[in-house]
Amino acid sequence: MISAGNDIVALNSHSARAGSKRFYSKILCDPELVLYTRQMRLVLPLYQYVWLIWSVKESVYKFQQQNNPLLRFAPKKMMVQNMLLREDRAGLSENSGNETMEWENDRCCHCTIISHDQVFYTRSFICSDYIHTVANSHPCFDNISWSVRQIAQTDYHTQSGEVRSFLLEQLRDIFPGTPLEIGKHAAGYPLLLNNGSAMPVPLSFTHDEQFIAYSFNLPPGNR
Amino acid sequence: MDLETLIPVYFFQNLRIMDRKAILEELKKVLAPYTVSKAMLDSINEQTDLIRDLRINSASLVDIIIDAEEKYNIEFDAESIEKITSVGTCIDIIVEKMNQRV
Repeated sequence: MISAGNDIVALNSHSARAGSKRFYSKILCDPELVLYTRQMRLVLPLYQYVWLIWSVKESVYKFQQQNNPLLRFAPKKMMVQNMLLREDRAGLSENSGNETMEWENDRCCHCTIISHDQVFYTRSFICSDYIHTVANSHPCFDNISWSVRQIAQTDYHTQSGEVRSFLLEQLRDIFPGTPLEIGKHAAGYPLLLNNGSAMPVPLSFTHDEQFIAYSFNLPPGNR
Repeated sequence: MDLETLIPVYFFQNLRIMDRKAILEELKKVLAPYTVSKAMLDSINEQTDLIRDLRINSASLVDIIIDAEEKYNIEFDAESIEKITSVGTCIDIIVEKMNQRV
């Protein structure tokens, strides 16, 4: 399945609400709670773990929705099977498209997740300010590019405009001279257009508060 | 159908419509803190899409569900949450869960 999905969660004072049982009971399946109490509670506070799981599920939902526009986001129908949290920065250096700002103590988390009987893989970048997750249907992320940027204004129109400009900056380097535009499929996901025709480059946008991010799937033959 | 049979049918149909209108008005108050599109909030109807029209993000949708659960003393299960796309589907589930409680 060729698609794209990513999600960012700004970690601010409001995000601590995810530590309440009423909130996380809508997101986490029972085995994911067990995973936290047995393993992850030593490395992440509960609210960060909840947003990490949220971000993983939302990015996979966006990935799947491009192939199944009728799909609805149902976090408790998706289950994280494996979670590997790395304290080093190796995950950040593996992708040349990643221009994520340098943060202290950030971590890369690799997950395997089942959603609607299909297996997906995610990579999440966790720092004190945000969690950003990128999804793929294959454990190798060589074809996936992504990036995060911090912006000054946080209103919806600014976020939406800035994330599109940010992606087009990157894609114009890859497709020089091509009149690229961003369109929207009737189902709501973004499309890369060349003279009004959709290009076979799946895209995904996300923004939350002062953070904007994208991912796209570009096999080497298309570069 | 005679008049005696018709009156209760009309009465209960009308009551059901009024209940949905009342829930819609209350839902506006629940939705208000989470939407950036205040103008759209004033003109919402049952067809209004929560994400596309009101630009409510999916994390805020969870907060709205929690607020609605508290307001109506009901619980949205995973199946119900998946069905929520518009104001109308949200009202459907609130009515269904309230009826289950009776």
